[in-house]
Amino acid sequence: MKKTIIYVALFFSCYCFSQNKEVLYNFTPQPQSLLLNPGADVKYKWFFGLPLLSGISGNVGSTGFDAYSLFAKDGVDFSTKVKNAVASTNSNDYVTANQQLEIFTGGFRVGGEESKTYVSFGMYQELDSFIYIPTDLAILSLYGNKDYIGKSFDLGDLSVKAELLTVFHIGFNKQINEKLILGARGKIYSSIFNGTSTHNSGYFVTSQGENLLYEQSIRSDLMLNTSGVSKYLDENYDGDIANDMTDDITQRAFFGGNLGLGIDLGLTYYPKRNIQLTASLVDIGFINHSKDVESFTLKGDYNFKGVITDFNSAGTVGDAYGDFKDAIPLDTLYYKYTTWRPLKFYSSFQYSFEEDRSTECNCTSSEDSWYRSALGVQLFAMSTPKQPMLALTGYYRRRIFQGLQMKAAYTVDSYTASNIGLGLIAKIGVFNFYAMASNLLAYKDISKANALSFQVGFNIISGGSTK
Amino acid sequence: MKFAFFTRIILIAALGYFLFSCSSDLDFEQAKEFNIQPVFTTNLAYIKADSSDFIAGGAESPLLSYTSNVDFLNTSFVEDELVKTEMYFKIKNTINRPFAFNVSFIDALGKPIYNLRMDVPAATGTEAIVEKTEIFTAANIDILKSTAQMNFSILMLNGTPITGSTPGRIELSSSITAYFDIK
Repeated sequence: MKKTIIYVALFFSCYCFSQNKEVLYNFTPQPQSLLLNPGADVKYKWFFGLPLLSGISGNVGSTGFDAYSLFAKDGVDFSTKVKNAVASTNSNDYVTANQQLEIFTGGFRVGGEESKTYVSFGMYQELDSFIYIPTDLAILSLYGNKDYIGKSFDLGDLSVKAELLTVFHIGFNKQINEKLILGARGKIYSSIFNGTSTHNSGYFVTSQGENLLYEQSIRSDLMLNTSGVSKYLDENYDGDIANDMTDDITQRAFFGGNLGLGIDLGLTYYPKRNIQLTASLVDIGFINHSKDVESFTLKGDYNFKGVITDFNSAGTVGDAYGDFKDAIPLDTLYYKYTTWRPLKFYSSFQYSFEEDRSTECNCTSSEDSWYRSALGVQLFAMSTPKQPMLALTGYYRRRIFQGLQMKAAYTVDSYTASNIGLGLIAKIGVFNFYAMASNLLAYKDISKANALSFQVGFNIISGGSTK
Repeated sequence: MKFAFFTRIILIAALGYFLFSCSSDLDFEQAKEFNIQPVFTTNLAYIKADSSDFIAGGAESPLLSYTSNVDFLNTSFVEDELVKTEMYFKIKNTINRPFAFNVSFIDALGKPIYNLRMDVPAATGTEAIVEKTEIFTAANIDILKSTAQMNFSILMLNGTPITGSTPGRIELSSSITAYFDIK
């Protein structure tokens, strides 16, 4: 049990990712912004990403505590820190993990010079996880029930999901008229590993009894669905984990895993030339888990009366532990299940100013670069097993000079109210490099950060937009 | 143009600074010192006997005795992590007769290794209540760890004779509180 707790704690502290990419969203000189809005106002003749280097992103976040509060070298007893961390959280606190790596990506304009229809495609790997802090279970493990007589420990606090998958996608982006751009992206998911335990309920309660000293009851409706991991869960497994995982990943990455389908939808609308509205839905999709599935359930009710409770019935004494195991059996089942991808919603409002066509240069080549600067707000929401995650961002965008674009963002979300993000896109000839990071104030000591995120990548872009 | 190019390099380097910035010294090794001391409490036994239970064939039958497996006490978890145990017994007697309540700890070979005796006075108008807390600490916790069975017996002592219609009952409630130290 102790080991499990440590692994969970380490997982929380090293692997905490959120999913909002507020700097990249609608930062349209970068083709990767199409992955956040297939209807983004992106222009190019063609582009391709340097394989494995075109898009690397990860986000770290935890609403409850940070790495410093657990692992600081401050002489405070580690167990005390864990207790403090548990005390500072509730069951709505979570850590979420998201990491993406583009394997390849590319895009081209369809039709001639005048065409405003674009195709983009690619494959990326994604690690996704969402863990609510099981506060009640943590309290029960740390302290036991003795000082919690009357408290109902909520087994529903257990809410966890994790998935490693690859995604193949192809998107279309079309300017319908002067004001409106629509886009859609179809996706095929290939899930390599999945574990989902998000529909749990039940309680464990000890209260003062009348004849019995305690009324003690447990009601459990717990279920964990897994796919792709059964051989690692087998207690007789003695293979080489690193080798086996590498084999599994390579086999399943290219349509060999559990497959799913999804779609992204998005639009950009210009009610006026310098006013822009955007909205997108990313990952409206599901994965059907049917290969290598294994599910575990603990379902049942039990009232524990004591070791001996039946003194008067012919001297037979029930086997209390056996009764418990019979009442709440651990069952292993093998059936298909479906998981929904975390649905992301983005929208933005942007006001552009500092028209620069007449002031800086008369270059007709960059017909789109009408404004040097823009101010905007963005809203982000993501579905989670409990309440949706929300974030509100205000930003300032500026073309510093031809080939260098900057976006600064201020975000308020569940992790922090002082998240300042910065992104730069550089383009020298056809070579494009971008780097974006959030929560910059936290970088002065990242161990104390509740959330961190970054995206970097290299691409080759011909005829890119500066808008 | 050259100037602009260098500016770009500088800006990119500045961003790099942010991406590889500092962190307080963290010590992940301390997780090895993780140690928790949960305390769990639960019912141990509830036993109830009416005065009529001490009558058999019209005559007094003074002894009731039952034995229960408690092999959960010698699992490896208890073996390694249990540091202290409190057993609490509460006996209520409403029969006008004294009793001796006996709890005996029996090892895997069937040999009694520890015995607890609680004398319960006769109820005289009001119920007689006897409470006892037995604490097993590091010094004698091995008794519990080698206990495989517990025998509970109620012995009716000499006193006012009872019949099948004598009112009252004797009742034992008990709990066990286990202190773990998990490293």
